[in-house]
Amino acid sequence: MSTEAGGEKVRMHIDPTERAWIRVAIVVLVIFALAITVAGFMLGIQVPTEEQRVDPRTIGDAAPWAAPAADEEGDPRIQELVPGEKYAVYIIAKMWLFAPSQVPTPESGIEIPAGAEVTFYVTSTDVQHGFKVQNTNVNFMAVPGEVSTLTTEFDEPGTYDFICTEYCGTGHAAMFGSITITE
Amino acid sequence: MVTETTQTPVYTISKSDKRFIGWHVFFAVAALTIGSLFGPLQALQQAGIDWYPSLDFLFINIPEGPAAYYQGLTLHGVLNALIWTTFFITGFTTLAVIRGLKRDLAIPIMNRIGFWMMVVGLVVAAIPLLGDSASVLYTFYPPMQADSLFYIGLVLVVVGSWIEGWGFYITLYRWRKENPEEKTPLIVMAVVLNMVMWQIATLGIAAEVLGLILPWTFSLTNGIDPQLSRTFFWFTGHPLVYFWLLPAYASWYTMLPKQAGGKLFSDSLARLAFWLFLILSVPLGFHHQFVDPGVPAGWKFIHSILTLGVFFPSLLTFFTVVASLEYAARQRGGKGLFGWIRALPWGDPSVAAQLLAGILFMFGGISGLANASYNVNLVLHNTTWVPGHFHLTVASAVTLSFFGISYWLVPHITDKPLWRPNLAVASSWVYFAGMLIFSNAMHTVGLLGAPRRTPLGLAPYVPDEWNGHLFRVAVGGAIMWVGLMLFVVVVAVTAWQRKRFADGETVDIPLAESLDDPNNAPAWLDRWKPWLIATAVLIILAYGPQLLDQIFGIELTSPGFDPGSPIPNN
Amino acid sequence: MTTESDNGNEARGEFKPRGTVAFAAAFVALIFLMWFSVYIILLSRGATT
Repeated sequence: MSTEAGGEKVRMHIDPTERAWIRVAIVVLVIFALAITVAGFMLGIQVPTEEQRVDPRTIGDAAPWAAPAADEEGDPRIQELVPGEKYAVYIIAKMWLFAPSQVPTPESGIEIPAGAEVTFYVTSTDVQHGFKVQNTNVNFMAVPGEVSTLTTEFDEPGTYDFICTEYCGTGHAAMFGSITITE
Repeated sequence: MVTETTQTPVYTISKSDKRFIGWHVFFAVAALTIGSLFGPLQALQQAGIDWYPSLDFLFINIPEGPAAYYQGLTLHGVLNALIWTTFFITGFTTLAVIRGLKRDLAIPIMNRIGFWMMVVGLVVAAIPLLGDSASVLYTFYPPMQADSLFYIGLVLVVVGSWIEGWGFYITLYRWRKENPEEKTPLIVMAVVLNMVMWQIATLGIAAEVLGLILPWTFSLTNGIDPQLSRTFFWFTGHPLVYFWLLPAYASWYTMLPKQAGGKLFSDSLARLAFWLFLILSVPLGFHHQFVDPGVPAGWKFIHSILTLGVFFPSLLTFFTVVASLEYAARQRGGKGLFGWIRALPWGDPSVAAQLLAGILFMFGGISGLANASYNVNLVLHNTTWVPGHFHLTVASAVTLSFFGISYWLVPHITDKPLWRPNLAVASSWVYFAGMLIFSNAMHTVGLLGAPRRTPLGLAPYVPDEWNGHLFRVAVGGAIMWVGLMLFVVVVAVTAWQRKRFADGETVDIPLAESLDDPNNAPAWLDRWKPWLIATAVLIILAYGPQLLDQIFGIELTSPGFDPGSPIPNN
Repeated sequence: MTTESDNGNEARGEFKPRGTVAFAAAFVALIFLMWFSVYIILLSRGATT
């Protein structure tokens, strides 16, 4: 912390109380850095990472995001990977609805048993949207051209709304869906 | 202090420069006045009350329902967050540079060209904004598409601010050549450094608008890459916050201590804090993209840690500013562990505004820490917590400080005494009270899951437990508006009244001395080159690899969409 | 200039910012209280990968 100035060595003068505060500030910030590291890398609470690029113009009609044909049995967008334990849900966000969704029209209901792990794969076919499952840590952007994904476990039975959290045009306020967790 | 008019000024700013600075303030306050009309309407909308039709006279095409909400929200964001700030900051910077260096601008015509380019940009962008053809909010995320005039207007505003910046750099460069023995005054270093940081930061938005959006809007490309657009936008988007904040910090460090009757506690640490803001403001934009699908989690984590790093100079600022205020209060006879706070000159409108700004900013800093914390952001991303947060930063720390600065700056440049100083003090308190109610409610209902940017009065999924908080949002928002209008009235009457200062009377710019001698500070605190190199290196390390990856992986697949229709344009 | 700053340094030597230290301690307590209240909500919602 010293340098030459006009041939004289000048050291930076710091008041002792301020020196103590600098230490406190660094400790405070290190504590937060450690806390997010513990939550992220030891308790497994992670943010979305790069998944897959897609073409937003065609992905809505491609498997597994495409709506099932009228004569098709079941819904390929809701996949039971391990019965009662592991599920995958593929959702298209578009102006101004999620598909599949139980609301506003029960196009197809999402029902998952309590205690199961659910992975959401969400992408947009038009503008940017948000996807937030209330009362869980699932909260991410749905960006056209990209697939967003997060996995969480639903322990409590009940109805969980998922809402659009990014402005996506005049119908944005009505854009939501829900998932039913059964006993 | 504001009414202290007898001191002889150390340096008198020319009439033409005063008028030039006055134009900055005029456009800034005009933008704030119009932009803020929508604030209480948005807040009331959260409680299910629709007063938008009362503003129909403003519009070329009268929008209805949610379209009115979003047109208003776009105007609110653009006029308040981009125009009020940029115009006020360039005006304040002009004053600080001239008065700090006691020297005219090196090339006055350059700053004038830059400024009027900003005004032209504002007018050009206003046409589609008022015509409901650019209701894309101030983040204008593609592939939602606005009228091309909106983007062209923004480009003119940003380039105009660059040109004003170049005028400041050249002025400081000449001064340093003329005064090789002197340290750059802290105030000048702070405001010029802010313009340099802005210049670097806005390269992101320049790349986004010139490289991606305009070619797409003019149909030269079939589509756009929304993820890359977001990355470019947030390269600028976060440093934008520091561009707003650093002039307020400059006032807290270099003026507020004098106004409070004391001295700056530490000149050297103030300088160190500003240099750290230069190198740390830009390389952390991914903390706005923690939940983006196209950015690897590892880069998000690195930017989260860097964001915690930029809190360090803010914490330094907290201590130095509070200590300077305590010194002033003790000089004024303040006693006790906390009792000294009462001894500060709360009756001075400029001081009161800035003290209240600082108090609100403490809370804003804390909620910002949560936003910046990687996975913690999952709890609150895109909820009303986020606008709750930035109303404590840009709309409190920055805006209330600019109120405080205006209360001496407008008398200074108009040579007219401040009209009704008591009303000026009241304006800050009313605004402060409204903000406390509003921001507390926004943070709380955000934690419960309420989405931002949503007219919740129209949303079908609002649970009962949100309603009480949404009502407080409405009440707080309405009170804030009253405080803001008091500010506008005080400043406008001050500027337009007939009363003038008598000959020889003036209000000088309140520059504080330091408790430590600035000439005793080490020389590395007055050298630009090492800090600029460090800035470039850190940006390249933190952004380079991921940015190149996204640029080489570009996919121009998204057609444009109008916010009112799910059918793509073209 | 020199005399002024000498006075300044003396003044600073006498001045101990006790009130600032108390204020800063309260601020740090508030930072922890508010930040960790959000952190606890995060942890209560369980692993998310």
